[in-house]
Amino acid sequence: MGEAWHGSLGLLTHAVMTPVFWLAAAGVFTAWFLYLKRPDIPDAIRQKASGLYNLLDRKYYFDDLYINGFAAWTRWFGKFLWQKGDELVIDGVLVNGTARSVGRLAGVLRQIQTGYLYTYAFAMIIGLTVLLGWLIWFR
Amino acid sequence: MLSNYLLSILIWLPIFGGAALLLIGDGDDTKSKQAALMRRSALFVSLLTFVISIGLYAAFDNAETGMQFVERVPWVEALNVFYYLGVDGISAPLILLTTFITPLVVISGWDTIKVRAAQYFAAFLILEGLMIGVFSALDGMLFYVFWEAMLIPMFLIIGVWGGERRVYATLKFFLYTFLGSVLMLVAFIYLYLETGGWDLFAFMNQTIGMTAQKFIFVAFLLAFAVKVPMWPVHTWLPDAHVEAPTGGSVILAAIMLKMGGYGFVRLSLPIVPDGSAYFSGLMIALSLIAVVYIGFVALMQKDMKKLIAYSSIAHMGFVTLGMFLLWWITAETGTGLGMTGAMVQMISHGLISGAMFLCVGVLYDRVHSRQIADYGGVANTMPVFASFMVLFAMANAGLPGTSGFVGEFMVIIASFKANFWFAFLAASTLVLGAAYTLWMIKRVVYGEVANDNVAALQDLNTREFIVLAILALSVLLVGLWPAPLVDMMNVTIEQLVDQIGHSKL
Repeated sequence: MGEAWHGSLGLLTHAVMTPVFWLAAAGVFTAWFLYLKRPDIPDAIRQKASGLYNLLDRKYYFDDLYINGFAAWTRWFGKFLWQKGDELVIDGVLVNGTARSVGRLAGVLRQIQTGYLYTYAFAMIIGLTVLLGWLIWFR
Repeated sequence: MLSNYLLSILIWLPIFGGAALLLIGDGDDTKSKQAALMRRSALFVSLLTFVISIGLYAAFDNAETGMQFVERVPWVEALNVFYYLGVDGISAPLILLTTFITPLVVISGWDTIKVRAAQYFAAFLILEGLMIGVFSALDGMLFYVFWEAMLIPMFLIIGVWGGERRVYATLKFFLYTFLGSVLMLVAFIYLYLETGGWDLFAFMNQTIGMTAQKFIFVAFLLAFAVKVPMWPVHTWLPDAHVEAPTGGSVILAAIMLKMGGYGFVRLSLPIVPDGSAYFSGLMIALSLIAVVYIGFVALMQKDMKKLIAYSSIAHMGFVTLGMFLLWWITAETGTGLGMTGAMVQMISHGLISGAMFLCVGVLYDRVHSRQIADYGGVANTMPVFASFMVLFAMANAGLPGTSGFVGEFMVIIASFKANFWFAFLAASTLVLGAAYTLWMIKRVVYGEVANDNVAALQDLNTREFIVLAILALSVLLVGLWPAPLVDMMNVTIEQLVDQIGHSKL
């Protein structure tokens, strides 16, 4: 720094020469002129060029993009994964679905368990016949 | 002398203490003198266990590569089962976490448990002993016994002191975890038939063919993935957390989830390194799904406990990610970084998630609601509590200076070394994590006082303040000065990484 400018005064005077400084100063001046000196001009601009006015007023719609775009999409996606992914597919179909299938299968199988002795005796006789038949003819 | 039996003391002191509490009981009256005595005894036993575990920390040798505090006596000689205990740099920190969290849980349940107080505290003490048993068992059978026994107190804690849908949650928790661990037993029996014993080191030294390694890995995976829990076997956790009493949620999140991560490090990686290498891509994919998918799901939760439960799943995804990055890092150095990060993340998540559940518990005790919509502007009526909750929320979102940052940062660096896209997806959790945590904080803590319940809130009492302050200090300590923790693990992790690097085919 010290090599480029001759002393702090040189640095200060240089700053005043750059376009950035004059642009900033122009901004301050315009704001003062429009809103303090002649407030009727902004009103006129708003009526004449409402599109441009709104674009600037809403900060180029960046906040709307974030809030209604990214954030809303993220929330929708989160809700989708939660209700469709976790609750419907994983928990509903896979986990509780398995539990329900086992329950249903047990419901069918328990029809066989009548509690009557003759049903069991009949099943035993049939089983014995099949076993003996298999032993005699197929071995 | 006594130090030769240090691990046995740590395991059996709380178990016998809990059993004594159970036998004496509180005479079915939580306001009686006997119940007060039971509370004090439970606190005394858990504090004594913690003090003894500090002795373990003091005597622990960071430079030792082998197991320390080893105890080995025959248990069932016919089956070659040994009562074989020992700790290294991976298990010792987890044991310290267990002994540290349990007294806090006892204090937090001090006067919020209105039924069967003695039995409640007994369940936690017994659970503590069993969890230390899991972390120190070096015999497969002993490990399995502790592993399964651990389910029983937790089953009772949720089933007896839980919320409205506690029976559904309990059964789901039990069946889910039991199904997985039975497959682990099958893998153990195979290894027993191969080696003729249950010694975990014999398992590690045994040559195993590739097909067998794949099968064993899958069997272990199902056991540990449920515990971690990894996507898509995670749905038991939100239900269990929502229905569990505060203390149950704290232990579940802080320590029981670590069992899964510990299982991967202690069993899967060293016993079947080639199988682990084969499945490492799948493991990384599942971890990244957990991190991103669960992050989105957490965002939309309306129940605070469910939100923290989902956030736990996302954070544990980091643990499994860090562990399985090993095979994807080609650089000469820093292969162990992911593993160290995973271990630090486990300890840190234990502290943070425990603290978050305690915060929800504090609110629930006053308003009897866990719904975010029932709160708003809590900071106006409970400023001290709000400060703590915001601190823990920041830690949960991974703010530098808190423990949440250290592990996540290590894992993200390690994933950068492996693949840019791993790191990209892993780092997205920082955004999502901040979003769901801070959005909850915004709706619960900040803003105008939402309703009469919130307006009537009383700030923390001394008991609650002590518990949260201790946790806040430890979260900051691990965040600002993780060296003591990392130093404890370093030698063991280096050795583990070296061991995993050698094929066992």
